[in-house]
Amino acid sequence: MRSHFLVCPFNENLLSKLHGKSVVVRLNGIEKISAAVDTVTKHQAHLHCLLLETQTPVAAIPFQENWRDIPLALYASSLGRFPDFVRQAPTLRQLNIRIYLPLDHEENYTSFRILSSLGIESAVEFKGKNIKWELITDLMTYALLGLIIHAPIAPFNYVASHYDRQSRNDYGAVYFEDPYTYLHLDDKGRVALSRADLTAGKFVAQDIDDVDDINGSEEFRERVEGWRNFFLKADGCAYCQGWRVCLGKYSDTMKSNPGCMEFFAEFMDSLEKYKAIKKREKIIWQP
Amino acid sequence: MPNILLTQRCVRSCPYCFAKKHMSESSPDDILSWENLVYLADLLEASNERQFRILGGEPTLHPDFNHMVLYLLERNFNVIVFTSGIMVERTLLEAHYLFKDLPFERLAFICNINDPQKSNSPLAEVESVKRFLKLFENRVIPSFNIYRTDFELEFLFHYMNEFGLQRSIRLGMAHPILGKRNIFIRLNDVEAVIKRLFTYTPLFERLRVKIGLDCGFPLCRFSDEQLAWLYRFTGGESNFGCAPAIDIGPDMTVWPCFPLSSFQKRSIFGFNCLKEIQDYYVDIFNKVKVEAAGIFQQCDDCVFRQDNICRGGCLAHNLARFQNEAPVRMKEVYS
Repeated sequence: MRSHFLVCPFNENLLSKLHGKSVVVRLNGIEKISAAVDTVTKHQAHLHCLLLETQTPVAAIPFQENWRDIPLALYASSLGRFPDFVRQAPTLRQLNIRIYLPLDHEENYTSFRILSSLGIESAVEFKGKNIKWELITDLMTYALLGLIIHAPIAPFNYVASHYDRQSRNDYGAVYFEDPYTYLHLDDKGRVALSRADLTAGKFVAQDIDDVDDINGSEEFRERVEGWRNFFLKADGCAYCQGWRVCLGKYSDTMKSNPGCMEFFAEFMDSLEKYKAIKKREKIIWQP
Repeated sequence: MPNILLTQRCVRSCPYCFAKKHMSESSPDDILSWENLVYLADLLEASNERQFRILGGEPTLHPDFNHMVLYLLERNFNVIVFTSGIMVERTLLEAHYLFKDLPFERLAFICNINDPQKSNSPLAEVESVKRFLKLFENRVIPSFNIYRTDFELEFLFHYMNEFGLQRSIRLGMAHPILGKRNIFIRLNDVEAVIKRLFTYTPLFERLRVKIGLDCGFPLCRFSDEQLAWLYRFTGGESNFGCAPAIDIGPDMTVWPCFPLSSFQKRSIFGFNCLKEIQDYYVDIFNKVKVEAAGIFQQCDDCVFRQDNICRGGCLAHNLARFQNEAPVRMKEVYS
C-alpha cells in the first residue's frame, strides 16, 4: 500500500517524528523556506513540497534561482504589479512551482492565461460563491485545446492527464484534498482527512503512529465513499452530466450559482476532444 | 505580418485617415482584452511569426498598453508600435522607464507624423509629439502619409536631426477607402507625387535618410532614372506591391487592410494560423485582379505586373470603381 503524504505545519518537533515519511510542509512566510527545507533534511523526511500560503502578490515575492530544486505550491492572492511580475517571470520559469490563485479576485481569471502562456504552471483555487463559470469554461478550453503548448493549468490539465471516462475522476489531490493521498496533521501530530477537518478539529487519529492504519478506519471509508450520498438524496448533482469529474464539489453553491453543471459537461466534452487529439499524435518507436 | 489593433480610439482626425470607415463602424470603447491578446500571441507563435505589430486607433490609449507590450516582449516577440506619438503623460513616462534599455530590434515605434504647418495641427498636439520623439529618440522611425501633391518633408528632416530619430522614413500614399469619403491621391496625381518626392533626393542623400515606400506605388509611374536611384539608395528593397496586410481588430475580426476594412471582414476564430488568413485574402485579391489587373488600363498587358514585379497599384482604387458600376462582376468583389 502506498503511504500517505503528510501535510503538516512547519514545526521542528513534529518534523523530527516524521523520519522517512513524505511531507508537505505548510508555511505562511517566504522567509521560512530555507529553514523548512533544512529541517526536513535534518530529520530525514522526504519533502514532497512546501505549501506556502501568503497574502502577498506573486510580483512582490523575492523569488530566488537557488530555490529551483525546492518543490513549491504557492497560494498567493494575485499576480500583483505587472511590471514587477514580468521581471520575476524568468526566475519563476526555472522554479519547480505551481501558483494557486483564488477566483475571488476578478483579475485572476486573466492571470491564469498570462502565467500559462509565459510557461509558469498555475492552479485555479475555486474560492468564493460567485464563480464565473463561463469564464472558467473559456479558461478550461484554453488550457486543453489552445493553439500552442503552454504550461499546465490545474485542475484542467491534471484531470486531462488522469482522465478515465469510466471512472470517477477526483482532482482533489491538486489541492491536497484526497484522503487516499494526503493526510493533514496539526502541531501535536493529530491526523485529519482534510484541511477543513483539521480546522474544525475533526481528527481521525490522535497520533502520527496511527497513520498507517487509517485506510482501514470507519471514518476514512465513510469519507472516500461519501460520493454515494449524492445519489441517496437524488438532488441536482445526481443528475449532472459532469458528475464523474466534479463529484459534487460545488453542491453547496449549485442552487445559487448553477453554472457548474454546464461547465462540467463542457469540461468532459473537451476531455474527450483532448484525448482524441492525443491519440492522433504520432508516437514513433524508441530504443 | 498582421497588424493588431489594441483600441479603436484615436486622438487625431487626419483628413486622409485610412481607418475612418472602420472607426465609424466600431465602438471607441472596444479595446483588446487580455484573453484575446494571449490568443493572438498564440496564433502568431503557432504561425512561426516573431514580430508583433501593434496598431490603433492610437494604441497607447489602451489602458494596459505598456503592460501588454511588456507581456509580448516576455513572450519573445519583437514589437513594433504604430503611433501618432500623442500619449498621455503617465503612459509616456512609464513606457520610457520600462523600455528605455531595450535594443531597437526588440521594440520600435513607427510614428506617423503630420506636417504641423499643412495639417494645421493644434500646438498642444505638436508639442506632445515632440515630447514623445525627444524621449524615444532613435527608437522611432518617422512615417509620413502623402495625401496632397504639394507635400513637404523638411519638417521630418528637422525632427530627425533635433531628436536623433532613425534615419529612415516610411512613406505611404493615401488611398481611397471603401464606403467612406477621405482625401487621397487620385490616379492622375500619382506621377506628380513621385516627381515631388524625387525633389528630395539630394536631402535623402546628404542626410543619409533611407526611404521605405508603403504599398500601392505603381512601378510604371516612376521613370527609369528614378527607379535606378531607388535601387541604388535602398539596395533594391523598394516594393510596388499591394497585398493583404492583415489587420485584426479588438473584436477579433480580420480584414485585408484599412482601406478595405469593410471588404470580406471575417472572424479570426475561423482560421487556425496566419497562412490560412493570408491565403484566403490573396485568393480574393487574385479574383479581383481577374476583373481588373490594376489601377490603370495598361496594367492588363503590363509584363511587370504579370511577373509580379508590380502589383498594379492599390486594390482599393479598383474596388471603389466597381462599386459605382452595375454589379455585373463576380460576387467576391462586392462583399
